[in-house]
Amino acid sequence: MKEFRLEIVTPDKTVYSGEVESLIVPAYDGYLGVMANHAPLLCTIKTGIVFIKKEKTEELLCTGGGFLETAKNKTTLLVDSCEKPGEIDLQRAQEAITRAKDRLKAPKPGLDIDRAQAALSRAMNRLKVSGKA
Amino acid sequence: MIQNIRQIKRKIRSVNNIKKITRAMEMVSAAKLRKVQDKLYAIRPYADKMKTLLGDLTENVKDLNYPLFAPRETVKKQIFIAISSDKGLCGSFNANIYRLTQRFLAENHNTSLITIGKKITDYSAKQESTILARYTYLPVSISFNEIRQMINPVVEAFESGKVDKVSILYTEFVNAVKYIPKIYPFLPIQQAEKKGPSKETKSGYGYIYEPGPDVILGKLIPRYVETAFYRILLESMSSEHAARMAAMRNATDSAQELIDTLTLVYNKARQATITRELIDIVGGAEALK
Repeated sequence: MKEFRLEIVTPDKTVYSGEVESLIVPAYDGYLGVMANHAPLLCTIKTGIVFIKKEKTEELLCTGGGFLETAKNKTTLLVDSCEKPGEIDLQRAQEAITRAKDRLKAPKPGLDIDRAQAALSRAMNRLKVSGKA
Repeated sequence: MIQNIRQIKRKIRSVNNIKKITRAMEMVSAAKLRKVQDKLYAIRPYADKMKTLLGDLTENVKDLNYPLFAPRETVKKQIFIAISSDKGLCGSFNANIYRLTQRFLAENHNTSLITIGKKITDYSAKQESTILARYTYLPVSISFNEIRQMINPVVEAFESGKVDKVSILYTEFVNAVKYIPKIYPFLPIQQAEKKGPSKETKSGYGYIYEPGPDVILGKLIPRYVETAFYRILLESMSSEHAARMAAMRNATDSAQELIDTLTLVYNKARQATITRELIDIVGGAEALK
């Protein structure tokens, strides 16, 4: 199958850089697949799972929100965070879930509900990805 | 004479102690530099990619009407953000920042100052400049949340039209021996230069936007501003450690030089006393004959 170049960049490091056959990302309104020679596209990414396929092997990555640009057979993913299942700190994710749930259950004045919900969905996503691997 | 020799000896010892300290400080700075530099090198590709993304987007959106991009015709009021270090002993690093801040304030009236770092904060307070906000002792691993809290008021002031221009003075890190103080036009956001021929092919493809370009732009811009600011902070921190490392290496070298000269003086003085004593003895023996 034809390959295209994929780069996943986060503020902490370049997570992935190489040729892949297909890519599935959690886009603005649902999962979106990218293959070689995709039309130029710019979209936002939500918290979720990224699937990378190459030579019959599939890799899962846990991603935070960000952006995707693809043009001229080159795809760039700019996301807040992106981890391989092995890199996920399960204990930290568990703690984040309880913390966020507590906050949402008994909201104090001045609570940033969006932020707490985002934290919750990020942590849940981490657990989900590590469970799948 | 004996006393003189002792004094020189004591001096050599104290210079040696200084040398030990400066060498230790050099090594501490080297370790810190490595840490910050790793972070800087990690964020540079992210920040650069974000800039190209923004460039591609603004190039393809017709009638860009977003306040952060629009340059103001008359600059009535502006904000100047100066970044220095918290600690001294780093050569001309902070002196450059003082000088450029003074010059900028002298050339541009109606400027409010935001200071980051203890050195420039103290300096500006002494100069009695109007300081809008001050930040000292920022941690190396500053979170995006904290950055947001720092720059959101600035961005809001710009959007609402209270301020027409925001510039940042920082020291760009080129490598461990080269760092240049720079004034960076932060807001309005500089649009990427229009590319001539390549633009045709690009717009010929026509980008698909998911969701619409306005929504993406609305999400991308705050992220871009934060990333750019974080990068500037890291550039400045890296430069600071590099500058301190160089300053401490110079100090260590000078101390060694001083020790060498003092040792020479010491040896000469020691020899002189020995010679004098010998002359005394020989003279005494001669007199006995």
